[in-house]
Amino acid sequence: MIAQAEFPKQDVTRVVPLIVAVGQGTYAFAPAVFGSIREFAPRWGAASVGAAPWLFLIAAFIQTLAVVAFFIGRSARHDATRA
Amino acid sequence: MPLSDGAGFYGPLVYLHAVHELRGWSLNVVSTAVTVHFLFGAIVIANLPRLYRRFGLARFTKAGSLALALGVTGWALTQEPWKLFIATLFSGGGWVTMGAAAVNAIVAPWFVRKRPAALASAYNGSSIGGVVFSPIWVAAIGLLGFPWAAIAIGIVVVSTIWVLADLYYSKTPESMGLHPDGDAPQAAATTLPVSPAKPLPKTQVWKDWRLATLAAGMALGLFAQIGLLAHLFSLLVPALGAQLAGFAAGGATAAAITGSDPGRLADARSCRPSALRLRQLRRADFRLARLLVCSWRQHPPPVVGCFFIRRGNRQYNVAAANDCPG
Repeated sequence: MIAQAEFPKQDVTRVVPLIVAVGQGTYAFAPAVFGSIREFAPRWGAASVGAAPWLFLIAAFIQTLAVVAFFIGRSARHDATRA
Repeated sequence: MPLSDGAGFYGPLVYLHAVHELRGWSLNVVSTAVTVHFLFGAIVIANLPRLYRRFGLARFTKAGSLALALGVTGWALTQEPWKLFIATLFSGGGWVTMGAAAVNAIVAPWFVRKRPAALASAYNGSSIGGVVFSPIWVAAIGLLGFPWAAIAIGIVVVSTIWVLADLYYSKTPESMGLHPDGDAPQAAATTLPVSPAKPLPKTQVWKDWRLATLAAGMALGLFAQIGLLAHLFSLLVPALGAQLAGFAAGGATAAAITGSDPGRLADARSCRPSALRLRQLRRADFRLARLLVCSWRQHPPPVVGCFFIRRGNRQYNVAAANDCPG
């Protein structure tokens, strides 16, 4: 929806597959990376094995980066629409 | 679609735990196998249009269902880690022939104006696979053991896709004397809302800041969510027991479906500039980030978090559901 609202029709057909491909190409690595975190990250105080605190903290950090990316992009989007 | 997503997308989170328990291989090896499953799927998606042209949509989808069933059975039967990686090629390649990109190709001829809403409904249908299949997988594995559960569910998937492909996927609106969107034959050609932004020059696509930030945001968000989702089930098992963990993982997906109204959001006619959608995406991200940070101490920490994971995930699906021919 964002792509459709922000890019001209002729670009949408190129932009969406690109975004989807980048997305899947990136998230494919997530299970392995998170597996390594569970395997190798140091235990954290009294937290149990099932709690996997590093996994959740790193996930939260990555989510925050995603939010930042959307924020940064927003001003660029407004500029492009006005241009 | 619920069947394939149940076995191909939501299945690996149950397999990860099942294989880890059954064979005693390290989490590292098994979760790398899940990565290969998704990665090979991405390669097949990139080549889907070419493969459809060559083999035909219905025939290729049938072959995909067979590959998925064989792959999942391979996950269950394999005795050595390297064989597991061969099984992931089948399961990953098979799953995407019935995944989001394939749904787009199947739905595209039938809907033009209403395509975003139709896709959103189809994706929600796929997510039902996550709600239903997580507990079904756990119950079937408990009852029959992983190999027989995989064979039984594989047979259901293949036979269902076989029938659907013959009945529906091989047909087009023209071959049945119908028109896209159920319109009357004399209806005027529909136009979609067009962005006021200028088209991008061909070479500039990757230099465009809007695209880069949108792609980065989606990729990072999905990375965190898929990573968590893949490990969610095995994290929940020690806290809840296998069957309850299966229901919790399914419940997370149910929360996603009920938590948003993608049909309304994705309707091209109500497509307005991006502020609203961005706000929703950001809200989902904030909620997820905040919850994950504060929930890890609680017992069992992922239970609360998982409901929000899928709510967030759904927002990304909505964002991806749009007009994209081919």
